[in-house]
Amino acid sequence: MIKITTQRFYAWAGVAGVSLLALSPAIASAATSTANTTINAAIASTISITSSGTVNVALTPTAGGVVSSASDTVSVSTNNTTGYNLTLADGDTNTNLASGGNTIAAHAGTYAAPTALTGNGWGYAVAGGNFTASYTAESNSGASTTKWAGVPSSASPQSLKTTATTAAADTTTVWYGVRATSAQAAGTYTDTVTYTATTN
Amino acid sequence: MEAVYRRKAFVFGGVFSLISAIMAPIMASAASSTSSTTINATVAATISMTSGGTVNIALTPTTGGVVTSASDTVSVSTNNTAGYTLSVANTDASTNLTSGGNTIAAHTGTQASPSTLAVNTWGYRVVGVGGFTGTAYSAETNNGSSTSTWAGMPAAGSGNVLKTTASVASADTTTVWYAVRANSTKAAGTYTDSVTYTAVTN
Repeated sequence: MIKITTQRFYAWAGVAGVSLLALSPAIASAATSTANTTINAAIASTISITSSGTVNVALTPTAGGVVSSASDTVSVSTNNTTGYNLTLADGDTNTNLASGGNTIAAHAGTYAAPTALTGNGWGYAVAGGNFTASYTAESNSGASTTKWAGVPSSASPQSLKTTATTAAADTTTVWYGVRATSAQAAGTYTDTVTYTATTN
Repeated sequence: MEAVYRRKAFVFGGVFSLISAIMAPIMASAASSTSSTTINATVAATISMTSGGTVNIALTPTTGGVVTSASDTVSVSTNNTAGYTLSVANTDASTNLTSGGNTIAAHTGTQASPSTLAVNTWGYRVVGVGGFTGTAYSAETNNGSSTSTWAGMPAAGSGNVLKTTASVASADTTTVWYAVRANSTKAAGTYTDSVTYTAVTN
């Protein structure tokens, strides 16, 4: 009886051993694999610009000439981290203010070398630099000494400002001055200027 | 061989697409925005005028009377493209030339219907205006047989229009003549009155 029991023990032990061998792959430690994905969100540069739309300058001329001026406010917003460049040019290649067949010519002064308006002419100014340090509106001033530049043709815009960071409603004040003598025919003289803001 | 080429083309295409995708942010064009402003310069109409200031007329009267005349030059400048209107009137309601208590009355002729001066009266004329005929006139001095025609100066507030223009003017002149007829009954003296020219833009 004891002998039989010993035989059975060895038999069961053998079966258990075989079973453990057969199951060994199933209880081995888990294998691991990884994969990375890069998320790219490309936010494009955007830019927007506004200006007053209309600048009105009124003059009552004298024989010696008077200067009147008024300002325009240009506002630029951009998310561009390297900023923007603002330019100014006439709306077309004719830089005269016109009233029917009568004209007021653009001033001969330039952005690099602005000068006081003479005779019958008009110009723009941005305070500082080579222009006058600061401007306030003039009204029929017979002794104006402020400096002005002629608005360039649409073919050759003039850069007014260059920034280096994002901008939220960053404003630039652009002044417009007109000088007229009593030799200039009465009337409303008009021209259009174009501001362009471009991301750097 | 053809399969090899296709495989190479496929590989190159893939590489090009990958580079393009990587470079895309760098090659993006700059954003731009524009805004326009209209500049309006309103030049007001202005007008200016000058006249001689004084017109002197000297007479040596006779029994029958003599006429002496002299001119005034009125100059108008305006930038008004529709021109101006020039008128004249006495400066006040009294149209007499006076010298103390003595007077020389304004002539009864009118601008529309001028006539030769009556004795001891004074008047004005502008060649070619109203009923003033002819194209020229020259000064008279103690003319006992004058045939020139004259109008009496209207009182203030009832001015006569001398000229109406339709364009800008630069020192545009109008010659206004004044004359007196006096006979020897008129007391000697310097008789004076003042006239006012008014130029208004149209």
